[in-house]
Amino acid sequence: MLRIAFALLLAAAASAAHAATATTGVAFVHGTGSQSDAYNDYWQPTIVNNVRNGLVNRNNFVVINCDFNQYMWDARAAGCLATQLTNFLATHNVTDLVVITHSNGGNVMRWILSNPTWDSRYPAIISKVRWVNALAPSSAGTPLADAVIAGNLFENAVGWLLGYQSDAVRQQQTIWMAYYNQNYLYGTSGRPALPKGFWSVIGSDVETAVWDSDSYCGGYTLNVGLEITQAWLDNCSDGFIECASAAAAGYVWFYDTARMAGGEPLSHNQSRRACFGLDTILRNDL
Amino acid sequence: MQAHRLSVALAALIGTLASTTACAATQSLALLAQAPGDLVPAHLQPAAKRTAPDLDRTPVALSWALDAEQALDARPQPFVRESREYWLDASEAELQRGVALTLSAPGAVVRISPHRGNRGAGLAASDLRIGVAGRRVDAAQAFRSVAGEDELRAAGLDVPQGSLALRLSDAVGAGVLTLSAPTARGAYLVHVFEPASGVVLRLGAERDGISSGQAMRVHASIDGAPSLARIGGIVSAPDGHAQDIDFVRQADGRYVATFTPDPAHAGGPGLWEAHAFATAGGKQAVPRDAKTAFAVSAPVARFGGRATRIDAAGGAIAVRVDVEAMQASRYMVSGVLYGTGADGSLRPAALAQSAAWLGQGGGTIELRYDASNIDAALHAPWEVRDLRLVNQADLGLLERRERAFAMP
Repeated sequence: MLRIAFALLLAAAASAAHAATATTGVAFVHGTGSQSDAYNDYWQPTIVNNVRNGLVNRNNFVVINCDFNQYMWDARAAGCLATQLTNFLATHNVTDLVVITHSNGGNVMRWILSNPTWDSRYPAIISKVRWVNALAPSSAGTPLADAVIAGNLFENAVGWLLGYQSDAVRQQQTIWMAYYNQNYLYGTSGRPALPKGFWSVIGSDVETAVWDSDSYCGGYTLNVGLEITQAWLDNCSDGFIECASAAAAGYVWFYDTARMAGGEPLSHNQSRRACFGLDTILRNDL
Repeated sequence: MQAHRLSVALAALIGTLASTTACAATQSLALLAQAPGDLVPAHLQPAAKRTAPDLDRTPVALSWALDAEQALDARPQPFVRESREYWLDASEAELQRGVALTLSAPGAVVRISPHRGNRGAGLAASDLRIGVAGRRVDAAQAFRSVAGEDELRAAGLDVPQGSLALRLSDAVGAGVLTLSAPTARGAYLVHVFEPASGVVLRLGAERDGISSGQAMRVHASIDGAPSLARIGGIVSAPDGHAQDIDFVRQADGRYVATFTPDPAHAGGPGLWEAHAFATAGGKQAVPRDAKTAFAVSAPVARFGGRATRIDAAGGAIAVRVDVEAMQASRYMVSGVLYGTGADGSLRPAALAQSAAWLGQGGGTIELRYDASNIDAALHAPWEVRDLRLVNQADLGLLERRERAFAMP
């Protein structure tokens, strides 16, 4: 209801002339990692193609490929995202942009929304954003990042093994995200709101039952590792992000079990795939 | 909920507005008294490390409306880290002989990672031996689950190469467990995490950020144990510099460390971290390690103490803020405009951000709150709060004022 009311307010606020000529586009922003073919490797074609069918012109879409192993403010992260969004907006004459992010991609997009003066391209991008649909965003970080980074103090002091970690993992520690949310990012509790809507889809569980076909949507991983990693996470988590983190910034659009077909939960991997009708919901949102 | 309107002013527009408001009413403003939680550099100093990013020179300003019904925090909320875990270093001889791990609860997770240069020395579950009270426990009984490097990374835990993690079964219980690996080669990092433990080390910083040269205090406390038998610590900079810190027990039972981060390592993106290594007192003597994070900025600029309010055409409120700068850079100023509501209380109206290149010596940066962004129900007196100055060259938060300017 809140999201519908918000949409109505936006529509009312827009001039009739603008509404009549608006060109809608959609951007897919991946999570942590360096992508060169996120369409095939990160999202997979099904969700991208199903979602863009909701556009008047289904060619008005872009799948972002950047290096999100860096800090969110890095030129290779937010700078790259700004470049690709700017080019997309210009070449497709998009005036109404829906941004779909996954995981840490939500933090990179929130960096742009919160720091419009960082880069002179940011205001033009922000002005065209209708809203951001953030799938499983790590808005308050994840304890899994804290767990692997913490031991590396010893690395610095006495030369122990450097963990398999990147600046992005370092940034997603809960203690680091707490600082950035207080000082450089908007939209969390007690902080000024973002200039555009940031709507989170929250995954609440991981199902890895061998006999359950739903466990295979998005690609099944015989994930004995989950038995270990769950120790660090709340009962409500998608296997990587706790629900509280995913809900920390902006507004909650919905929890997975409230809208997915069959009341299915979305694991962190499934929330970027065409599972249980997620693609249909995103398509209809355009 | 009100729709957010966005007002964007780029360089040319700023210039146009400046010329058209040249004859508008102006008012000289002085910074309000510093609040206890404010971040204010005592004096300017050159950055120890020069960053030379490719900074955008184009001035940019933006403002948007805020919900007058949504109260905002007056100052950053402190983050307190809770730890149920510890790390220890095990040499080849120690791990072959057996390392004692103190557990306070069942269901612990033990992760073993080879040191750097020891990448070929990853262990398998079959290499491990578990002993409890001098008696060997069969692996099938001791381990509830086991996962290697690939499985852990697939689950989102980016562990070092060669890592092995095992979750102990409840049958192992609490007490002293001996972990050995007769086939161990080289040294290993052992990480013990006890999700079900009631022994919790809490660590927090007094402030989330300081200026280079200022002192920082971190405080620690223990739950589930009468006291700490010992506690020490290290503070580490983003560039890897580390310095020892000492905790002192306070009358209220907390442990406080006061230290001054080395100014030579201040500035730059990334956060400093304070690490505490402790052992809980009482019968169990469980180790606990925790860390917290904070920023140390290089104070190359600060607010000059004054501003000029300019009432622009169309009801916009513009505040031109003085900035003193020791070095040229791109500086950003942000602030929340509060207006007075019908009940006489001050409420958030709009947020403005503005960034511009300032030469050595400084200049002014203008915050502009367009009338279209201000709720019509709000009126004077106004106040600018949460005023911040950032050096965009190194992401340094140089100054932060809870209450900045009062305007009738």
